[in-house]
Amino acid sequence: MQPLANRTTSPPIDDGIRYGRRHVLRVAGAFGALPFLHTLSGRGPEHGSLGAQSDAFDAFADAWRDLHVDYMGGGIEGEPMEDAYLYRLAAEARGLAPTAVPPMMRKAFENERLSTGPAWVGGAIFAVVVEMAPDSVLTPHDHPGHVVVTMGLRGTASYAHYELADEPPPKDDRASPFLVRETRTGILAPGCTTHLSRTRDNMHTFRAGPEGATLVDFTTEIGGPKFSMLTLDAEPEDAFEGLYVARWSEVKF
Amino acid sequence: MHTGIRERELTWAEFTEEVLPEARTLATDASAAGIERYLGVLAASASRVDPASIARPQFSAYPGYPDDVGFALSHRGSPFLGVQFWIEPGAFLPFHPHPGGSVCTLFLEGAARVSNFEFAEPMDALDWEKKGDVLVRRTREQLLHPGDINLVANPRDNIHGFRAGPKGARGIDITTGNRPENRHGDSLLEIAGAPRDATLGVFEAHWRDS
Repeated sequence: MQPLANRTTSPPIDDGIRYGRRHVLRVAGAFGALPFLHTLSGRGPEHGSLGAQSDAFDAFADAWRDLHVDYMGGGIEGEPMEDAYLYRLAAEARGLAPTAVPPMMRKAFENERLSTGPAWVGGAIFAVVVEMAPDSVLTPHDHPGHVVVTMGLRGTASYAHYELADEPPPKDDRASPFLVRETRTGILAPGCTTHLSRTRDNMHTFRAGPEGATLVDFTTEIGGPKFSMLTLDAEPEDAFEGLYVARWSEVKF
Repeated sequence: MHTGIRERELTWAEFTEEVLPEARTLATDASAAGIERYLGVLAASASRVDPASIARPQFSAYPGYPDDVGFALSHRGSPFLGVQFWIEPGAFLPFHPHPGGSVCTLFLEGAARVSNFEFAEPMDALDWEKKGDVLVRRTREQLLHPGDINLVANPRDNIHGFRAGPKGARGIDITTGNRPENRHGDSLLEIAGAPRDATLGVFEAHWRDS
């Protein structure tokens, strides 16, 4: 709840949204419980940012805000353009040195294998840092209410994205199987990115390399249901299409 | 499941009209960050293109490439070319780098698995006489359905190769010579099936005669 230094103001953006560069966001206490992402729901654009960061990150954050307004806050004919937004945001992120990303402000969740918490918050857009111990796994989970660009900051992590391949059961049904499609895999080294939209590649999982890994999720909250963990069969039903049998599971990192 | 929230409303002509002014400006920045920003702008507009708006051309074989892969120049202009490719069902478009620039692949028809690699050492340190082996790092594998996009930046993810699905694969490579001084002719790579270092995804590769 403490105010941060270096308050400045920026001109109002023409859709009526006013962002304050380095403006105070009084939500530090909102990160006290998991899933903390959802505690940000409903926070309006009058909130600014919280976090100590470099000029390079400030420039990135300004570009991010502009892209959010241009592509997600109206866009052409008032509809969001998630893919277009993500490609532009990922390009901006790849121009950002990993060392310029602010550190985690506080740990919102921690166990012996990973810790996670906010690094920067700017209303509906925020950066979440995940620190992973060597060989640890961030369980597969979806992001039905978010679009996310993930960037590697330290170490390496392998990743996989999935998306729904048929109609899933309700999320409290942990027994009924459904199909997901593995859409992309790769290795995140520092400065590398991957991204997901609400309908494309919406589930992801990470496994840290032998030196561990630190990642940042540049997250845009759109609203909607909470995220859910899932389990996948070890072998695909269809290798080329990457079809796996999945089941919803408890929220557990 | 592969549609965006927004309808894909642009034709190819509308795409080029929309993207060219900014692309021409951004293409002059050949730094890695500049190429990333250029590709971001291309991909953002390409993600709104209706794949059905891009007609299937007459494909031709290309020297050095397998007979079950064809190419057709669909768009010639500055700063980019549009080169369509067709891969017969189950066939493979061999791995090749793009040291002279970047590629935004917009996938159009069928399905494919594309794998991206990058050189494990700086590209200007490579032997472009294409003798001997090189080390490459696997960075991404992606399943492509119509409307999906894969990016080849420079030096990131600079090598790609495609395996077509059971119905074949068609896409268009929006190809830009951001670094024309680095072109070294057409080059195909054979990449080992198993990694030398699985954690870092490092593979041995050697140049193919083409």
